[in-house]
Parts: sequence; C-alpha cells; structure tokens
Amino acid sequence: MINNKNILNYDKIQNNDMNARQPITGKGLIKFLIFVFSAFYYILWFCLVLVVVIEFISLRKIFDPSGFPIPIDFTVFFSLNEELGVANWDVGGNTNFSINYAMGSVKLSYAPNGFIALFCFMALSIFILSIFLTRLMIKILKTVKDKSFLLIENALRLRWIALLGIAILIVEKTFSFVIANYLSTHIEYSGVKFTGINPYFILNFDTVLNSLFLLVIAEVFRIGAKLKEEQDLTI
Amino acid sequence: MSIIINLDVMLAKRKMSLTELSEKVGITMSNLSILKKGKAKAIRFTTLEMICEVLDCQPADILEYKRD
Repeated sequence: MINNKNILNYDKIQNNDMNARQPITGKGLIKFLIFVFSAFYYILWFCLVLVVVIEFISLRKIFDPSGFPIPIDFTVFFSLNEELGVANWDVGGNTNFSINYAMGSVKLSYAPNGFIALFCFMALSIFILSIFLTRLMIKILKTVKDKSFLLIENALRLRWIALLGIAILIVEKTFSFVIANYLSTHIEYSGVKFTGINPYFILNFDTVLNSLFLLVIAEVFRIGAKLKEEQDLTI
Repeated sequence: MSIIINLDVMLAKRKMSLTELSEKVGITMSNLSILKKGKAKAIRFTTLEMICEVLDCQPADILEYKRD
C-alpha cells in the first residue's frame, strides 16, 4: 500500500545512497583557492615593481628639482569648517550636517625628499609584507591539497600570517598618521580643516581582532598537529 | 630515547625478516620500521601482544630501559 510516509522514506533512502556514492570533497575549492591566491601573489609582485618605478620617478626630482608633479596620492584627514544643509526628508525642511573626520588623498607638486622617502618606505613595506603573507597562504593550501595539512609547519605559518597582518596594520596606520599629521601643518584650503588624526581610522579593530583570533587558531592547530604526530608514531 | 627496542635482535634469534613479521602481525612495514628505529612514541598493548606471540618472547625481550 502506497502512502506518503513510504514515499518520504524511499526518498530518504535514495538520497542516502546518492550521498554514499558521491562523497563531498573540497578538492575543487582548494584548487580554486590556490589559483586565486597565486594570481593575487603575482599581482602583488607586479604592483611592487610598479610602486618601485613610481617611487623612482618621484624621487628623481632629487636630481631634477624642476620635475613634474609627484605621481603619489598622500592621505589626508579633514573636516569642513561650515555646516551644510540639504532638504532630504519627506516632512520637509532642511537638515544641517557637517563633514567631520573624513579621509581623502591629495596630489602634490612638491614635497620634501624625506617625506617622499618615508612614503616610499611605507608602500614598499606593505607590499613586501603582503607578498610574504600570500606566499604563506599558498604553502598552507598546497599542503591541504596533498592531504597532509595537520603539520607543525602549518601552525607556524598561521602564526606568521597573523603577525604579518598585525604588522601591515601597524605600518599602514603609523605612516598614514605621520603623513596626515605632516600635511595638516603644510597644506591649507579655505573652509577645510586638515587634521593629523582621525578617530574612525585609528579605532579600526577588526583587523587586529581577526589577527588575534588567527593566533589562537594557530595555537590550536599546533596542539592538533602534535597530537597527530603522537598518533602517527603510535604502533 | 630511554626505551631501547631490541626487535632486530629477536628477529635474528627467530631467523625472521621484518617483512615476514609485518605480514604475520598485520602491521605495515613503515610502522615496523619506525618501531625498529626507535622513533615510535607509543606502542599499543594489542600490538605488543601480537609481536610477542609471533616471536614467542616476552615484552622485556623487545623493550629495554636504559638510563640516559
């Protein structure tokens, strides 16, 4: 006798059989991730070379002071002195608003050599750290592809990735702060107040939290790798 | 390591090869090799029991403690 319960059970059995025949693997995902990170790695190398060329052109003015504008965007933090108004509510009337602690970039026709060198050092540092970080990710993914990922080396790589992430953040924030602070005392524009600090820029904790979380994961991974090693060497 | 594995001594006494032992005990050659070289971290009692049964010996014949 056919009833709905029998049909449902038959579907469940059929699905279980299908799952048994087609186990879910992550091979395709791992290959895709390796491809993406490898592409990103080569893009970073290309950008590093590009940055070196741009910085050489920018620093070239040391030898040719009457050169062209510096092809670099420098970070600035600014606030508008005046309150602005716009009508945008259904109930009518103007809403006053002000722009505070905005972040932007400026192009300069001249900057001191030390200033440009500092910026170049920051850009190079960030690119080099990013290249190392991407290389570590690719190495981890390759061990996952070889199905031998629970290794002490991978735990150390995860730790290094977390530390590099924090290092990139510190370099970026420090240099942006230094550059914005320097520019705030050297450029002016009517109605715009350039500040050396932006609380929204500094109070950006998500990268730090992610890196610290990754440090915890790395330690857990290390313990797991140690347990696996013990298990593998148990006869 | 403080625990010395004298498996090769017992194999020589019983005139048995490592391959033969691995087939009789049911352990892979690589695992037996790890045990013989003293790189093993632990050995299960069931494995020790099977080795002793095949080699007709006592655990003390295979395992020896030496102070460092």
